[in-house]
Amino acid sequence: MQNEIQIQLNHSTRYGILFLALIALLISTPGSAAQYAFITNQGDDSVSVINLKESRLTATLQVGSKPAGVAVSNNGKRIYVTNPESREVYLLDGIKLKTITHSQVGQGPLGIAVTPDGSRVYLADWYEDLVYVLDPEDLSILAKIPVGESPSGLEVNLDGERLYVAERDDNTVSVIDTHLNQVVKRIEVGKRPFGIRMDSRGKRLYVANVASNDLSVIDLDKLKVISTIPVGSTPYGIAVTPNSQRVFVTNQHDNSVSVIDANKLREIRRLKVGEFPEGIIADPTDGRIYIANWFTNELVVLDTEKLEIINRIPTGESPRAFGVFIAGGH
Amino acid sequence: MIKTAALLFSIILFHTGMVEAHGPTRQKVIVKEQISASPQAVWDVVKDFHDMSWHPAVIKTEGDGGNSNGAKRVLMLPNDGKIHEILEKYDSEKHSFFYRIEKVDVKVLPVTNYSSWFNIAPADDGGSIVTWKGAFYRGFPNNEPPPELSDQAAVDAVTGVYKSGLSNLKKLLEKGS
Repeated sequence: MQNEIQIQLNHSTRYGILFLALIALLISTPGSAAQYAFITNQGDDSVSVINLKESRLTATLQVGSKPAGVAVSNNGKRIYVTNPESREVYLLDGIKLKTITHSQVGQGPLGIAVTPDGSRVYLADWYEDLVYVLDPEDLSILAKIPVGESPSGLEVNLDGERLYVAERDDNTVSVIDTHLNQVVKRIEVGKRPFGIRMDSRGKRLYVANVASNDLSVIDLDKLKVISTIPVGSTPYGIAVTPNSQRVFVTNQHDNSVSVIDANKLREIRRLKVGEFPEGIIADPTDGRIYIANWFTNELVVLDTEKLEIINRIPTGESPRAFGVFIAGGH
Repeated sequence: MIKTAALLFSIILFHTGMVEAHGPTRQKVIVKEQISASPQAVWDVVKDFHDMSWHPAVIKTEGDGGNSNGAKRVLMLPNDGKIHEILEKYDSEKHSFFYRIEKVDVKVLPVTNYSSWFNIAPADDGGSIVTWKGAFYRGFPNNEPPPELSDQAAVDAVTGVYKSGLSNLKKLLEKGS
């Protein structure tokens, strides 16, 4: 690719600017559509691998006990799954669709995240109030970072230098410096923050507050809450569209998804999606949102333009899908 | 030592009903009952949030707020057991309501963060299918729960409540028919 462009530039410098523009366009184009969704099924100790193009279940992988958290690497090759009951982390091969290794970590591994370059894995321990730093290939423990009470949702920023941690029972989000491996800032949010998600530009962090039924919006440059948006009852998971214009929030007790306009910072629609919606994520390219309905054991596919449900794909028992469950999703 | 203190603290919080901490795995229970009575007839028996006399374990229901969202009731059970509940959603056309437990001693019902749907749908034969569903965590929020506060104990207790309630409802509605 680079050689090609070099040759073209040598051929004729007047095309240079055109080709530079083309390169800029290529770089700014989001990655390809995700191939698989990896759904943690807490009720039957498995991960459902769903082929997103064919809208069907491709494989079911047995993992530890009561899997909840999931993190898919940006290139889709590595899948990390937490098992709070058996206190294990599983590493799955995202291409061969099989287990590579697993390891005992902590007392209640729940939230999990992988850096954009895949070089480190972070795991929130619900009981120990720690974030573990893990090796991405052998899952060995590299460091432990003390955080607030009941850490749950995790997000890593675009350059991998910052880790954000929802601390459910402290009503805060902590900012961790990933070189120092320590909390450098603590931000007050709503009541019982659980799920968090960063937009694709890395400018904002959205926080779902389970007990105050609202969404805290954090400006990641200022590290301040710039808005608190009321949503439905018991918000749990968040997805942000690739253009960062729309935010979708699952409302567990309302069986709905709130659609938020990211510019106006308010709810513009509420869609009924099914019972007890939990994990949610936006595909990096094709204008779709995927939602795991915990009570009815299905993955709902939502068109983000028409705001219509276009498919329902069966999963295993009690899907949680807590985390980034497709490659490159937000 | 710290663990013991944390445990004691969580037990104290439990009894004041303040705690929202919970175990790692949410549980679900679904119980269905087919009843030979119209959905409206079944609804007429259960529709008052402040009258749960159709359930054999409920001695008395107290509370206010009617059937509007946010209405509160206290279910009085044998041996001074009490369950404080709040109505979250009520739909008389769909014969459906959604409520959650605000406060309960885990000795009375070994659950935390409990929410529940009650729904009546028409059956093909003109009768009704009543569905009672619950989502909740076990009574013990930390690791290594004692058996009486385990996931299984929570599921068993809620299943028992639903089954005994729905079979009594069926008996009440089908008697004499």
